[in-house]
Amino acid sequence: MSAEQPPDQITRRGFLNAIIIVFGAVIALVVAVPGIGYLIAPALGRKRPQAEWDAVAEAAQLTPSATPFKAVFTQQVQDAWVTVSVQRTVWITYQGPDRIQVLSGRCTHLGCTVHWDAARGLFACPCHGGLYNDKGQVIGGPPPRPLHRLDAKLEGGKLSVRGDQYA
Amino acid sequence: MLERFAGWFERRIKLVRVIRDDFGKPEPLGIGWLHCFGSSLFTLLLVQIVTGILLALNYSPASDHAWESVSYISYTVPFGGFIRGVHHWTASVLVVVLALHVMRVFFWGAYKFPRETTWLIGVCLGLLILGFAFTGYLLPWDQKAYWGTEVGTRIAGSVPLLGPAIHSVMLGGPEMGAATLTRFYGVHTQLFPLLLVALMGLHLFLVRYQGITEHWQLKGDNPRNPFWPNQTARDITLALVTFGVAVVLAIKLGAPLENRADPTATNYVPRPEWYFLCLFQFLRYFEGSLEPVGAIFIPALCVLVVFLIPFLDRGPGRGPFQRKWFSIIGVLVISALIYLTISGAMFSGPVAGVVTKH
Repeated sequence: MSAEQPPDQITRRGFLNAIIIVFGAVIALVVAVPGIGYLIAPALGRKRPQAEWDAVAEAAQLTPSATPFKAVFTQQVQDAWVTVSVQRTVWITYQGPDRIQVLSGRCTHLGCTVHWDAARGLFACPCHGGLYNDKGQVIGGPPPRPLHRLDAKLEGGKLSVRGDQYA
Repeated sequence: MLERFAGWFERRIKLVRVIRDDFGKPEPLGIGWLHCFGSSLFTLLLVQIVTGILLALNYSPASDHAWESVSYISYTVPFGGFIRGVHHWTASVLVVVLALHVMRVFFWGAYKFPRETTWLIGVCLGLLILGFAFTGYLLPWDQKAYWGTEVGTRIAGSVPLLGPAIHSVMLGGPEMGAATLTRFYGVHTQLFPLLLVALMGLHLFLVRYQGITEHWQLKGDNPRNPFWPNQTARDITLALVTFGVAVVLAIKLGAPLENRADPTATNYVPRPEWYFLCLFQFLRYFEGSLEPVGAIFIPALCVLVVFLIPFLDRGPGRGPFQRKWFSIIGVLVISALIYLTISGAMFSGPVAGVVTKH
């Protein structure tokens, strides 16, 4: 900087430095901001649409019992850009039209699928030893929450279930 | 002719001289086989890049084709099974050599001034290698891949508050599916390799620029041997041996491919790859609301401490006996990891589970 230049005046060098920083930042931001939005979009995402009712069993086949049984049904799911048929599993305890319990088969610990251990009368997760009683309440192992309970209704001769967390 | 061709470049760029000067640099005494792990890692990572590119040429990162394309690579494409086997087993050998490399640097005190930056970049490279292992695991889209990733991403999702957001960003949606596979594929084959090459270049540059740390008992006036060919011969020998192990495993065992991923399977017991067994086993000691402690906080704290080692261990001594506490803690941590890995491996079949609440 020459001696006669007033200190508050922008120098040629200072101006060019500012240009480099500002222009560089503009290029970076125009890529970075939409890029980050694109990347984290699934977390910001729209709420999942209200789950539909899915028929899982014929009412005529239901016989009252305290033992849960497995029902597998097919659901059409929009998976990113494809619509896929997904097999879902729920565990149903039917003790009469007013006493229907439908539990998701997905362990609340780390998402493995539980199975009904008939000998011990409980749901067991094979991964980390989570155990639930026939009501889906945690009775052993690491799961933090009971098994997810789904809505159920008997209508038109079919048992239908609804919930956003199938397994 | 070749000489004239090379000479043309040399007169302009003088690269051969730079390389020759660098390789001819004398190394401190006490450098030997223990210092070969780094160059073995380098070689094995190059093997991963080459075999990975070859696999990508026949792989389809779509949930309805991924398994079929991997099966096609394994059983139809000539040499496909071999290349996939080498990629699979080199990953395992890499983790072993990585552990040995970290141990050598740790007990040698080589992370001390002026090499703290090399250590920090090295830790990033180590994490990156584990990241490669995690993201690559899903790509075959078989049972093991699907359920291993289901559990792995839910572990990340167990972070308080941000967990659900992290989980959906990793999966690319509310549950595992098409977008998960493309994400993992993109990260495994685009983002991570770019980071790898950049960090590896920087790490290697620093190693050559600052030289190898000399033995803590030997001082600078000892006679020295040049890096080329003495140490280079050891380096390439160990690289060949470690690569050879991967090749033999690839031929003898091949890369496993289980049945196509089935999200409805109720009796499938996911088992992590052996190098994640210690985490798997560790997780079993934490139940209910304590889970994020075992799954996230303690592992994250360990990583942080590993990063900070050069800044925690500020004493002047470099020999393992001159920094007793660090050496003792190091031995304890290594023993714990080995113990957890072995007990995780012994533990077979479905977890029986014990009723603890009524």
